[in-house]
Amino acid sequence: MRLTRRHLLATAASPLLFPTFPALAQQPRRGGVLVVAADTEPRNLNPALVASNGVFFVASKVIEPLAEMAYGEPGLTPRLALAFEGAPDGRSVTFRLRPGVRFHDGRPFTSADVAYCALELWKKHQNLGRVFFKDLEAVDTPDPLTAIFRFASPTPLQLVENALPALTAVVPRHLFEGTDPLTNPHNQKLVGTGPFRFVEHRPGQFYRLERNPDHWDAPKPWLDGIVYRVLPDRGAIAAALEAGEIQLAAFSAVPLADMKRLEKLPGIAVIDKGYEGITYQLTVEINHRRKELADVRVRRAIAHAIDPNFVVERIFLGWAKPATGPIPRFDRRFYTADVPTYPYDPKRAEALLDEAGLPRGPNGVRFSVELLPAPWFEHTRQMGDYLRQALKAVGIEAKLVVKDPAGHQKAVYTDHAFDLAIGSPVYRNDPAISTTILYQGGLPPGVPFSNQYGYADPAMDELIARAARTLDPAERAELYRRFQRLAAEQLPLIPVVEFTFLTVASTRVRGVADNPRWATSHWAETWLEA
Amino acid sequence: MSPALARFARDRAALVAAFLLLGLALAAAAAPLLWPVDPDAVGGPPLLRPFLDPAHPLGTDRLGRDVLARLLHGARLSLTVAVAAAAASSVLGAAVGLAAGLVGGRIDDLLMRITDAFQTVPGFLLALAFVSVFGPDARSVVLAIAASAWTGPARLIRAEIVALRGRDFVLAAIVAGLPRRDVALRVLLPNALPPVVAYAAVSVASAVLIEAALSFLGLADPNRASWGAMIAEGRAVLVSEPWLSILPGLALLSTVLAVNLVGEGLNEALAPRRARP
Repeated sequence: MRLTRRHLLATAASPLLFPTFPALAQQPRRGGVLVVAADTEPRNLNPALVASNGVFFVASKVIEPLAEMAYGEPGLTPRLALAFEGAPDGRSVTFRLRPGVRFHDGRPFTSADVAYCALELWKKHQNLGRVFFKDLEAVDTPDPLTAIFRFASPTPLQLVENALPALTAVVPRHLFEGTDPLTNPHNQKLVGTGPFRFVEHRPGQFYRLERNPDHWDAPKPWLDGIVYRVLPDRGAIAAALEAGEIQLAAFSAVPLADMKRLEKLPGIAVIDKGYEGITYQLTVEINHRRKELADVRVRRAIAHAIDPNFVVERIFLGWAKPATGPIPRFDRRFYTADVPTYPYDPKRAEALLDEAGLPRGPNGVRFSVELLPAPWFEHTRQMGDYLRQALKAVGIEAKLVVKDPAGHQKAVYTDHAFDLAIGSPVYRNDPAISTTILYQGGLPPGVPFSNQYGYADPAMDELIARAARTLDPAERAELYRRFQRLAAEQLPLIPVVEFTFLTVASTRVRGVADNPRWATSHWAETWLEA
Repeated sequence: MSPALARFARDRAALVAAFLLLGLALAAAAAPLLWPVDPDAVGGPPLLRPFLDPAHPLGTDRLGRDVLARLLHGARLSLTVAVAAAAASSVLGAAVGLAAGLVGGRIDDLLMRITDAFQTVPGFLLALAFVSVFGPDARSVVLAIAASAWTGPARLIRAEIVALRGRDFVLAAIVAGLPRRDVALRVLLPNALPPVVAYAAVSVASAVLIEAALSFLGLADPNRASWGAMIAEGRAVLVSEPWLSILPGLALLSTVLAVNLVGEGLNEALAPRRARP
C-alpha cells in the first residue's frame, strides 16, 4: 500500500498542545476524589453503542476513543491510536495502535478489539456510527497493533479524523463477542482502557469510579477517583456546590440565572471553555409542507422578525452568540461569515409577508401556526415563548404545543405534525457527521434530528453528496462554505444563536477545560489542589 | 333572608373569604380592562423587582413579562378551570349517585364498585395520566380533574338518596302517582343536593391545587399564563429573585384558603351538624 499523506499525532506530553493554559504548568498533585453532579442516568452507558453527551460525561473516563480533540493544531491528541494514514484513493485508513495498553480486566488491548467494535458495534448499532460507518466493509488486522479500515467508497481522511473523538470508543471484544450487544451487562458495568475503573452505580444516588493505576499514561490520572452524585434538581446542584458537597457541575447544570451570583462567591469559578467541540445551536425548524412556509420570503420574514440579541441577552444571559449559519464560528476550518444574513427588522419582515401575498386579516393576523418548542432545555422552551411574541408582532399567530421529549421527537421527526419547532442541534466536529443531515432531502421519516422538514433541493443535495466524497481537505472546506451560503440563502431552517455550556467548579479543581470537549473526555489531567 | 344565608353570614371568616373570592373573580374577569397589559409581551426590562416601576407594579420575569398581568390572567385560568372542573365532577357524580341510589340492586353494586375502583387511584396520579395522554390544554385539564374528583359527590348523593327514599314525603309523592322521573328529579334530588353543593365548594379548592400542580410540572396550556407555571419558572432564579415564585404562591395560597373557608361556611349553612342557639 502506497501512503501519500501521513498524519502523526502530537503526543500528550507536548507543551505545544496547551498553548493557552499556562495554569497547567503548575505541578499537579496526586490524590483526592472529585465529586461532581450528574443530572441523568442513561439506561445504556456504553459509548461504543450510544454516542451522546450524557453517556460520555461518565463513560469517557472509563472507555477511550482512538483520539481526542485538542486546542490548536493538529486538533487531535492521541488516545488508543498513535498515528493514522490514509490511502490516496480514500478507500482505506491505517491506524497504528498504542502498545502495552490493558483493559481494566487485565486482558491486552489489540487491533482485534478495534475491528470488532468498528464492524459489530459502531457500524451496526451506534447512533452516529450507523450513518458514518455505513460504507465500512472490513477492518484488516495484520498484526495486533495495526488496524486497516476499508471503505466501499472514497471517504475523506479529514472526515475520518473528525469522527475519531466521538465515534470510536473501544470496549473489549472478549466481553461482547457472541452476546447481544444491546443487552450486554457491560453496557452498565463498564470495562475499558481509561484512566478510571468503573466501580459501582447506585441508581438515583451515585456512580463511583476509581483510579486505574495501570493506565498507559502513568503516573496519570492524578485523581484517586470520581464520584458522580445524581442530583436531578438544578437548584439542588447550585446549593450542593455552595455547601462544598460537590466540586464541579458541568453542562450548565446550574441555572444560568444563578451563574452571576455563583461567580462572585469566593472559591467558585464559572468556566465557559471546554465545550467548543460540542457547540449547540438554537434553531427554528420549519415544516415546508405548510404552503405559507414553503415560500422562502416567509421564512426570511420569520428570520427578520427574530432579534438574536434579545435571545442572547435574555434567554442565555449573554452566554451565546448570534449564529450566521449551520456551522459554528469555532470551527475555523469550515466556518464562513460570508453568507446572506437577516438582521432583526420587523418592518422588513412585514414587507416580505405582504409581498408573499399574506396580508394581515381583519383581526391583524396573517396566518396561524403551531409552534413546538423542544422540551429538553430551558432555553428551547423560553425561545418558544419569545418566538410566539416575535411572530405576533409581524402578524403571525403561533399556538404553542408542548410535549414530553418522546412525544416531541415523534411529532416532529416521524409524524411531521408541526408548523414550526424550536430545535437544538449539536455540531460534532464535521458538517458531514452532524449537520448536513439537517439539510439533505429524501430521508425516511423517523430519523431523529434530521431533515424531516419536507425540504428537498437538488442543488443542496448535490453539494452535500459532492462534499461527502471529496478527498482534498481544502476543496472539501470550500464546498462546505458553499453549503453555508446556500443554506443561508434558502433558509430551510433558521439557526438563531450558537451556545456552549458552562462548568461551575470549586477553584481547587485544576486541569479543567483543557480540550474542546473536556466534559466528555477522560479527565486524566484533572487534579485537586490541597 | 333565608335561614341558610343567615347562618352563612354569621360565619365571619367565611364572609370575609367570600368577599375576597368575589373580588378575585371580578379582577380576573375584568383583567383586560383593569390592567390592559399583554401577559405574554416580552418587551419590558428583565427581572424588575416589585414596587419599583409604576409601569410594572409587581415587576417582571426573565423575559421581561409583566408579573401583575400574568397573575391576573393566571387567576382567570385557575378559577375557570377549577369551577368548571368542580361543576363537571359534581354533575357526573350526582348522576352516578342518583342512578345508584334510585335503581339499587345490581346496578347500585356495579356503580359503587366502579366508584371504589376510581377512589383507590390517587386523584392527582389519575389527572397526571389523563393529561399526559390527552395533551395539556385547558379542556383536558378540566376533564382530568373531574375524572379524579367525581367519586365524592357520587357517594354523597347515593347515601342521601338511600336515606331519603323511605321517608314519608317521598312515599306520599309515589302514592300520589307522580311519575318516577319526577320523583327522582323534583322530590329526591333537591333534598339530597345541599351537602353536594357544600362539597363542590371544597372541591374547587382541590381543583385549584391540582391545576397548579399540573402546570408546575409543565402539563398546562403553554399559551396561557398560569400560577403553577409561574412558580416553576421562578424556581430557576429562586435564590436571587424569590418574589417570582412567592407572588404566584401567595395568590394560590389565598385563593385556596378562601375557597376552603367559603366551603366550610356553606357546609355549616346548608347542612348544619350541630344545633345553633
